[in-house]
Amino acid sequence: MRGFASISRFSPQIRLRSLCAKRLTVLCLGIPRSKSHLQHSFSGLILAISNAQALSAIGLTIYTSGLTAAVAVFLGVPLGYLLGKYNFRGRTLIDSIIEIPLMIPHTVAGIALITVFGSAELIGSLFNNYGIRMTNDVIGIVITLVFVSATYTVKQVEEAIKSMDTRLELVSRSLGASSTFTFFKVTLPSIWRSVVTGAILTWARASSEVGALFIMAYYPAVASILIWNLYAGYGLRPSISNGQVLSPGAINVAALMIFINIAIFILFKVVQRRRVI
Amino acid sequence: MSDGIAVENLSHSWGSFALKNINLSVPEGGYFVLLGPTGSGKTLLLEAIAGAYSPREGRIVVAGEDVSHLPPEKRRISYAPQNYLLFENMTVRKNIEYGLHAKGVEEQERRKKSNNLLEMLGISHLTDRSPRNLSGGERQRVSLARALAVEPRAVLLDEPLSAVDPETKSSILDYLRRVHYETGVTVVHVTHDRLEAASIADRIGVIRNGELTEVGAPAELSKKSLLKPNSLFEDDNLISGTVIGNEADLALIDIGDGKMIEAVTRRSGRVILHIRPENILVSKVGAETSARNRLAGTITEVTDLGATVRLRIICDQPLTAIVTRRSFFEMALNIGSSVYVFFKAMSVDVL
Repeated sequence: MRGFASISRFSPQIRLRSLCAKRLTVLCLGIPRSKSHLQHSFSGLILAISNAQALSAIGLTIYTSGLTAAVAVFLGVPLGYLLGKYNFRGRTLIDSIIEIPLMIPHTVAGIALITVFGSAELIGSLFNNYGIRMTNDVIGIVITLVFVSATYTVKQVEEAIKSMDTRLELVSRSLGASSTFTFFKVTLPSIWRSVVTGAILTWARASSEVGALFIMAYYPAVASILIWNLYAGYGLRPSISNGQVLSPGAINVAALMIFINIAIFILFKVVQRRRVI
Repeated sequence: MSDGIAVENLSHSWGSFALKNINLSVPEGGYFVLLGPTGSGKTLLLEAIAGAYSPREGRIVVAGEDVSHLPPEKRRISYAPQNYLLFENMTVRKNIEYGLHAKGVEEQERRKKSNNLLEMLGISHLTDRSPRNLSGGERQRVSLARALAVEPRAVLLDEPLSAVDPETKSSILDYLRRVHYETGVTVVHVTHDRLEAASIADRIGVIRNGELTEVGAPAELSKKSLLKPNSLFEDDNLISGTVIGNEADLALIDIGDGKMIEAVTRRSGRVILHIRPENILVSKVGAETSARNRLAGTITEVTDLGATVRLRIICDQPLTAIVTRRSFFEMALNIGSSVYVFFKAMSVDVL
């Protein structure tokens, strides 16, 4: 698809670096430029850390984006494997559907999702009958994030399978290993770096989602929505009235979010660089 | 002897390329080499036997069982592909024990079998190494050990010597001969190198454009092919013989009909001799020279190659010699001329 083609012109590493570069740029904006600025920045971070609302939003973001990455791996590895290995009827259609979330504005993705998962809609009403809310709930957040970001994992796995030497699987099976044994002992270890890269991209994309969440799962607020709310309601800086913190400051919550994301990102990279033997 | 592997009327197509009506049979314990240039379909045929795909027509029979539609894991045929493709996430030992592990063999039994193979192939010192740190020759031996560990009904070797230097090639060939002799396993070996094929095969099948064009023992095939222009064996002198004596590394080799050839080798038993056409001297007189080998024959064919002339000489064994154009005219050679051919014992490659 043309939309994905323009993005996938770049290697996954470049896309990943570009994503990190954007985050670092934001971080640089917050880098203290003087001693007093440093004190301000530090106290701002303390203010954000000690704010229950901010911590809860960041915690929810880490939880939901992590869960999204896990779901993306769980669904994306078999799907990417099928798309990468087999040439079947309808393959191009499935491939195109997977790429759609990358081509449409995320508010449009949110609208599309709510027309399916809204409490009065087809699937949403079905779950509503059993007391399960698909919108404005953690489930809604994860569904939204999987829809907008799982594509990265599927495409990473698909490309890894395409570039893998399939004779490796034939060797394994000729030695008496079943296709399942072969998948877990030979195929997965051969593509695991791509799986981790896909999971990082999915996680990174999920933790920064705003547009679709505004429509599908505004509550409970994840960090990106809280930052927007704080900015729209109180501006960039903290707002304190009569000793009561009305806002820890959009900039402070954003900076805290960046630190946490970078820490998680580094952790992922350390895991990815580990050699198997 | 029963058929180890039989391929009957096998046809399969991929777009414009097709394997056409392939028929071959390899007796149990036989060593069959499939010889052909790049793109001739030899690897595709090997993959059909391994079970990578089911042929559209024909069948593959292993030890009397039709395996044409069985998945690879049910065929009991080990496949060792080109470039070895070891499992890089496992140590050498784990690579060798992989098939046994997949079949649920106890660790003690696995260890015993892998130790035997590590020793047989001289790679015991590599046990705990990663395949990433192995040379081409070492990787080849690990690949062979991995294929043999599961005690298959047959082993398929796809260009096993393509990624090793000439010295290692000779040592791997020795390992292949030894392993084949000691295990008695049926082997189908794919190569584009005719000397490699002639040096190890019981029988050779020549494949071109998806068709098996010739099948025969190496010596038979070389004799036939020497008479056929544009043959894969053109110009190479390949003679089969048996070492009947050896003194100080100078072996006396019986090539049939009471004819003997001397060559420098320590090999014994059945051998294939290779003599390059430019290493054969031609003379009209049987003069004494330092060359250990002298045969009498008649020129049956002359081909002008420009600066040189190629001579086909029948002296019990058909031989090809290449002489300069000037020598050809000075010696007044022609079709029907009676000549002597000489070559040194050192010029004979013993395969």
